Amino acid sequence: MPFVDSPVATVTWAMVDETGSPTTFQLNFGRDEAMPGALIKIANTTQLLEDLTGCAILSTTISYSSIQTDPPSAQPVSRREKKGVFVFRTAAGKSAQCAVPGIKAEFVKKSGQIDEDIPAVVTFVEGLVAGPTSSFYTDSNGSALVSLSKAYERFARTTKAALPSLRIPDGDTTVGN
Amino acid sequence: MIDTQPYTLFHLVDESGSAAGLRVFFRRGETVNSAEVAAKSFAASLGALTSLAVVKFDIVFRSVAEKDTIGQLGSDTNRRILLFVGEDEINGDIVEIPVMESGLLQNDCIEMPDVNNPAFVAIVADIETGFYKMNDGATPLIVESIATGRNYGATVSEWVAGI
Repeated sequence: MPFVDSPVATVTWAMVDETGSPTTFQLNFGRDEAMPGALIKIANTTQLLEDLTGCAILSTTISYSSIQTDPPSAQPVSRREKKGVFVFRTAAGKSAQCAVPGIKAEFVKKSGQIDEDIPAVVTFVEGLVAGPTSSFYTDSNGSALVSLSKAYERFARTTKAALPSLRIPDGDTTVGN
Repeated sequence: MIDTQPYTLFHLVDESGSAAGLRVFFRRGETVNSAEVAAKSFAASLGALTSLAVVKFDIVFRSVAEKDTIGQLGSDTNRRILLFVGEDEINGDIVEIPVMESGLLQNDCIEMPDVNNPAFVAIVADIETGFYKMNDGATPLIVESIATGRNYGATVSEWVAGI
């Protein structure tokens, strides 16, 4: 799966006018710019934008994109609503949830639990939890993910519009249809 | 501005073409390069777990204002200045700037921004310093600027008149 990095990063300013109506303003900058220098430049532009527009800047978001050049096809009957929910304990004693869209059916037991002994599941979990020397991934408060608490399948709410065309109920209740 | 927890957002697509996302936070202080390495490794393990296609990921650093507020009197996001950057109006990008209702537009020709306004001069100079880039990585050069309403087909005068 070759991911190609975009040559530019994007900075987005979110702002509101006197009525609270939101809008955004975007510019790109070189991906190889050092972050400390980029932050100074962006802060300067933020001030200039406020002076120019009179809008209040609510946030700045810097995004570095990488795109799959040769993306694999989604598997037949794959559904984004079918979530594999992984609940982790964090170093702060709280729990954090990670919901994987389209969890493969063969990883789910009849009970609805995800089989935690399958190598792909083990690799995924080990990639997220803190090891002896590293704790790269965290919860939204910066607390390291320490261990897996539970993993199960959950269906997100589905709207008729979200269903693939062949899955829309047609009123035919014949067995097999 | 307060820095929030940085995260990587993975974009996935299912059989019907419906998009889904997965966001995983990572610790502060990590560089873009280290986040990229981790994201590519994570994408591989994610791809083995899901029946969806992993098509893209974004590494995101976000700062938010310390408190919610609104803009100054007269600020209006419906009015824009369009900056045409690049070789010419055809071969380039358009940058949109939300603009204050008054003070920045020429009195006698409100379709044209006052290019001598200090705030306008400052933002143009800032965009052209060389730090900001076009989508292809080239340095932008602003070749023309016009004012407009939210509807791109209408100039401000038309927009004000309700056309």
